[in-house]
Amino acid sequence: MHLRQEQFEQFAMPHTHALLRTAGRLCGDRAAAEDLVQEAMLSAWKNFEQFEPGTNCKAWLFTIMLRLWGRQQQRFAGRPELLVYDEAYEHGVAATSEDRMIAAEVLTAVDRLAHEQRSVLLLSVVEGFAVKEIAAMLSIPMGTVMSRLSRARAALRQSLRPGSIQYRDGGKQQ
Amino acid sequence: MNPDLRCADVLDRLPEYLADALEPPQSDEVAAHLETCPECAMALATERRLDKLVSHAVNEAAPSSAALQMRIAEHISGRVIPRYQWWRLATVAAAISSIALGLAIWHAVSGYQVHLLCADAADDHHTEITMREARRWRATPQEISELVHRELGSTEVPQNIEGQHLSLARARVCRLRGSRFMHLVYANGAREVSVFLALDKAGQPLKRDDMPGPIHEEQDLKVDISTFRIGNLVVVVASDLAAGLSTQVANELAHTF
Repeated sequence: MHLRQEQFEQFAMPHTHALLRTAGRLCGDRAAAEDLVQEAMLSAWKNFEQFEPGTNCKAWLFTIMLRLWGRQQQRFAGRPELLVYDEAYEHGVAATSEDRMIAAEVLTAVDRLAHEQRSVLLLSVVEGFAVKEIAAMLSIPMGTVMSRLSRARAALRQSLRPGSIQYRDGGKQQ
Repeated sequence: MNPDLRCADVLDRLPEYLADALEPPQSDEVAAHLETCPECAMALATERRLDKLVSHAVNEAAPSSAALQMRIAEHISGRVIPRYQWWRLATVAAAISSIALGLAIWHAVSGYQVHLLCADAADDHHTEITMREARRWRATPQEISELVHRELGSTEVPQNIEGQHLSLARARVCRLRGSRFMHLVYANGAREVSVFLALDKAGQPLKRDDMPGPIHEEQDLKVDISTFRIGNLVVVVASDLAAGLSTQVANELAHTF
């Protein structure tokens, strides 16, 4: 195996799952999410020389994927009827217990966020990127990241039943 | 500590505090206030619970990336020509001669492709049938019939697999190896079998009748897979390993289509 391929498999490939996790919620459809991640990974492979070892490979891959996704959003602008939500992503967790019901409720609320708020929320809360990294990925000021994050949180709080997010002393919270 | 810091100021800064975006001394001031103010501490705990709920729900719903990783690894190792390059090459080849195109297709698809097709089918069956991840299925006879007609044209699909007492229960469109496949589910109570069908047409990566043997069989993710090709129809049957139905169903379908 060539050194380039070996390094790509070592540094980039382990982030495929995280990319697909976020792409799934951004695209709302598994096939479209897989296409987006595959396109991003092949673009990363093609331009792998631009990646500097020692820097954050996950952030580099997400930047590529978000740019591709941004272009898709522009292409679909004004044609919302083409963006068909797959039920699996709207109600991705079977409601068989209280926790699962809450998870399904949370997913629905996340999917209903405006896509600018949803992307920032996912990058911060699920993927753990710093505000500065998100700002660089999306080419927006840090203040905009924070305001989108605040609006996303407020919208989630409004969508969810109070009992779902209420702090429960002695519960599972850290 | 800033004694003038009011609860309203702290609540305003909570999102930044949670995102580690506050610099000292503001971050220290907020932390000190949170230690002494139970209301603000409760608001912080609620925000943290919200984050935890989102993270947990998104993680739980994330699809398996195993088949996708395999496809990407296959691309970067050069075993498959990326889709857009394939089209470019195919166009040039067609312009040179139809024989060259035939050869290009012959070399682009190998037995390894069949294995990857089976891996995708196993992944789909495992996710949607075994794990019961929610999907938007067409379940009435009319909906199924319309979908089949749209995807497979005049191809008739059987309503029953009589040898196994299974009936057509639901249908949806999925993607295997990047191509659209009809995913039909035949069921009898808890016994469910997936039948994936696609017509071999322009743009599909499965282009030639090269299945190794009349019916090719594999096992992946505790799923039994049998695949064959009849005329221009590619058929993949998947069932849970424990049920062991895929071979019998594939044999019956091979005589039906």
